[in-house]
Amino acid sequence: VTLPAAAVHAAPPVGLVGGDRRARLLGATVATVAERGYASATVVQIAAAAGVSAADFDRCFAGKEECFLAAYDLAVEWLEEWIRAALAAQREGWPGDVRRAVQATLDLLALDPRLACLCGAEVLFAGPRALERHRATVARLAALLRSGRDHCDWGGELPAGLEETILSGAIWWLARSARNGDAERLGEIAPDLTYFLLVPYLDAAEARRLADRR
Amino acid sequence: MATSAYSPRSSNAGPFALDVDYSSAPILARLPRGRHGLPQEFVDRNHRNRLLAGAIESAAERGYPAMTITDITTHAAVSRGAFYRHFADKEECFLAAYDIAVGWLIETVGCALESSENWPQALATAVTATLDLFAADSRLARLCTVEVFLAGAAAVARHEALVEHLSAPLCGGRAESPLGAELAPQLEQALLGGAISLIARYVNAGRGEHLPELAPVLTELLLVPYLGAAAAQQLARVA
Repeated sequence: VTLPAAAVHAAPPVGLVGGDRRARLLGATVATVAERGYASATVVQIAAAAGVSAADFDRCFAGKEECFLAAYDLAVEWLEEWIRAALAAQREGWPGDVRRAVQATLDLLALDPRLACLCGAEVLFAGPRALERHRATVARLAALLRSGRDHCDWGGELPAGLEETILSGAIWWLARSARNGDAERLGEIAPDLTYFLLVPYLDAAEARRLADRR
Repeated sequence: MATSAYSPRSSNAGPFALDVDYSSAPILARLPRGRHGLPQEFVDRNHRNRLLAGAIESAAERGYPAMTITDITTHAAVSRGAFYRHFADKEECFLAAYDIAVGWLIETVGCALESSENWPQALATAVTATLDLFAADSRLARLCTVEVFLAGAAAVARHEALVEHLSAPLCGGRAESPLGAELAPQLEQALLGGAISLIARYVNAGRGEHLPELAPVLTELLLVPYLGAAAAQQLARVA
């Protein structure tokens, strides 16, 4: 993925500058949903934001939900690619990989905070299919955390679903921050977010120390 | 008759202990047919409560997006005209029902928190009480952890206000924590967000009545960032 050095707030989302009609519609979906919320966003608004006709919209997507799901899939693909790239650069294993993945996520979201609205909040509001996708995303990301169980004596006693639960909490945190306009400072919460994700597996002081490491 | 809008559920109260003492008044009963001479105020309240109960039922049955005013009035056995005397639309009715469910939840949590001076113990009691409330009527759990997200911006804003409200007692952990000052200001939001997602997963899997089995897990999860894993685990299992 190639990403611009900085994304202007009103610009199309990262990775979707230019492109064909479908790509423009996906970009417009990210923008419209972040601005109005999934429930209030309409196909007409999305088409207008993309600069295409309603008929063009219909040629690309069966409806608002389909279009939203496609935009979500694309955003998550970027996010996972972005994390993969960050981890590939320097493989540290757990817990270093967790810290790097958090940093990579925050870097991407700082470039385009609307992605945090899309992937952290609106996906929860967009119906059962979106929710199913959210659950699948969380399950994939949970694998990265789960290695923590091998690093503590109580790993075997930790509840099933712990990783999914703390990740859902972390995502809610990110979405809230992005919605509250703290987007520019997203990068600063990396140590706190890392602590939150590491602390079930470590002594609290140790988790703090590792999370604060740069 | 209690008049508080958010009356706590007595142990034998049914799921629809709305604004009255359910055990002594058949508030959700249909009214007699024809001229009954009941005061209009009583009729209005009866209709409203039946509509709210109908909304909770319909939202659980069909989900907010699919549920219709007809579903609500059918469950309530109240006319469409009566619906519009109380609510402008489906959203307004849902929000009123949500507010009542949240009132019960807040009352339940509040009572549980007062049960102990000891923060971890009080928190454990509150977690158990919440899960018991939701298990007793999984429609409430669905309303508060699933449907509220699907009901538009006003509902989401109310959910955020609830999370904000519940954050306060959780903040008590900061005083107990050796890392108190270093904990992130949004920590409580994240913990509650995680907790709500866990409950929602149970509800969506149709396991609402098994929610109480989550009590030790959820308590541990909420204690960990403040007390560390070892202490949290120990306290959660004792509590």
